[in-house]
Amino acid sequence: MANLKNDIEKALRKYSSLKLKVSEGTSFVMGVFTAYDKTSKTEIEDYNILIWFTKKYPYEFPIVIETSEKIPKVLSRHVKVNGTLCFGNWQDELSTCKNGITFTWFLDEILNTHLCREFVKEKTTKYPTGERSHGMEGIWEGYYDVLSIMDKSKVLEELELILNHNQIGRNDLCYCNKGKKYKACHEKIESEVTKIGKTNAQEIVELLKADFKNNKKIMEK
Amino acid sequence: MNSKIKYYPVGNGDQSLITLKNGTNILVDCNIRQSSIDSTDPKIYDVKKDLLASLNKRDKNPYVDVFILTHGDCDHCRGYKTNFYQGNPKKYSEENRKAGEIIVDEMWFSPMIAEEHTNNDEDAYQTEAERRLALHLNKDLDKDLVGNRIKIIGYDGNKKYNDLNHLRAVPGNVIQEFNNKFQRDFSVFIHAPFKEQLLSAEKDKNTTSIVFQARFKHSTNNSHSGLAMFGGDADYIAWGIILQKTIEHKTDITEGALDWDLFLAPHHCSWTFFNDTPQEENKEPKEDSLEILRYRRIGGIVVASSKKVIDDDDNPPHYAAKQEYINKLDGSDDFYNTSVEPKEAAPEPLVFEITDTGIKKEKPQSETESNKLAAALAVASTGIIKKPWCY
Repeated sequence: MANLKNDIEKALRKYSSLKLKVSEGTSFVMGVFTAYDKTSKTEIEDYNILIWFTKKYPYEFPIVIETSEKIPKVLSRHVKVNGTLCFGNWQDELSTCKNGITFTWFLDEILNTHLCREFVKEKTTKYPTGERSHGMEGIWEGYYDVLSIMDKSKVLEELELILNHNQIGRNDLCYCNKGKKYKACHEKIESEVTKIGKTNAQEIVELLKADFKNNKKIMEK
Repeated sequence: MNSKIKYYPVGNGDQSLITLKNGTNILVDCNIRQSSIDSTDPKIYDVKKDLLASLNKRDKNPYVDVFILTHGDCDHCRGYKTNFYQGNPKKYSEENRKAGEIIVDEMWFSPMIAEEHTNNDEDAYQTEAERRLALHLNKDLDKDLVGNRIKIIGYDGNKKYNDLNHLRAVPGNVIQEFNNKFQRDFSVFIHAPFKEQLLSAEKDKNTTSIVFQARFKHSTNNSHSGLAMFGGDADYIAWGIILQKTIEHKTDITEGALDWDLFLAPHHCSWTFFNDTPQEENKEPKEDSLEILRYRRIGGIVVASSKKVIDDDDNPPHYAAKQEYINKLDGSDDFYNTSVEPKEAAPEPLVFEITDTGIKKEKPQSETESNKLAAALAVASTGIIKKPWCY
């Protein structure tokens, strides 16, 4: 708890328009956050925000609600109806937080960027760097990008292969049996998939499997 | 488009651009420091780049309709020699254009600036003025070409231009023709320099500044929707005479010749507008100077074109002068300092729009939608997580 308090207070020294409030033992940060471009020293937009921290923090992002209603709570925006901002899909979030984050870093690098994207979306109707779909689909899309495979059953096969192979050396033949050495074949993709930790990756794969079965059932009906 | 006045952030110095409804550009003084062109420091605004973007072009060549040099001190003409074209306008070449040399269609010249030489830019301005005056004296066929036009403001110093009185405007005159174009809704009332200053033993250039009031007419009635006072570095003695003379000419007062909505604090917000310096020994502001400030119309704004005004012994700008101005305003909100607008870390020109309902401050360039969008896009592309998502 003391660490969290220090972490927050350090950030608030930089972001003086944000205030810390402790209510029933839970720390909340609220106030005005100004999306800012430090290169051109441009203040882009003010957002009222409310932030709190989950038990998994700093290995997970804090929860952020935008309360000034500058980001509409609609399906086309990356925000839940309660205003919680969605920064990236699960694997992106886990990999970003794998070594633990600081609150200052989160405000600088994640929230600021996210609000800038929302600003661009508001003005141009498009997210400037693309977007992931809502829900499970967004997790699938993340793997489409990493594996360069667009087929769900093949994505699952590939993930199973990557997560369940026997230990091999870099110069051994790759476990996919395509005839290349491991270092020239799956090593890179594997490190990308497992950078969130093998347990986390396995948990996601289980979710994907369930989702795949569900969809299949719906399709059959 | 409404008329606008742009006050450039040039440190202790003046550079203001008046742009009329029809696009006519009148530049009052310049202080183009080479550092503002070369440096990428956001604290030093690139006034030359802005100027080139703001001016009209004729056959791709940038030009100002009128250049008014209030007086020859370097902080009012710095960069004139290298950034403005001098010589026969017919010889303006591709090379001059590439060098970003701006053509001055018509220059306003006070022969009093010629009395002593203190810097190369002033000398260049004078040489160019004398070149143009010679064409007019000799009735040269090209004398009225853009780039050869000239107006004499005030009285002669060492050289006599009696034959050129048709080009002359003296205190009390209203000028309505700029670059040979008659303006129905804009005029300039000349306050100074006056004849007495020729004889004055005091040879300080600051007392012989051109002082004028820019008048912007309301679009449908005869009143003025904007009155802007430009006084170069004129000191309290000059302003005292201006006050006295204007009051003597009752019609000038009825016309509101002393009224102002925008007042460029003379001599970069220095104490010399209020009394002799140092301020510590002349603490009381002169009644005449305070009286000048009382001609402020509702909502009137003071602009200090200077370094950041801070509470120290520096002059200019002088902290006590700022306090005197603020006392005469509705509050410090009507006092602007070019070095800290919109912020000290990255100053930008202060732009005021003259509307029928009064003076409106424009949003700084960096706060416009297009600029914000560009900034947001730049940040967006740097993110660690590339794509937002919703669970």
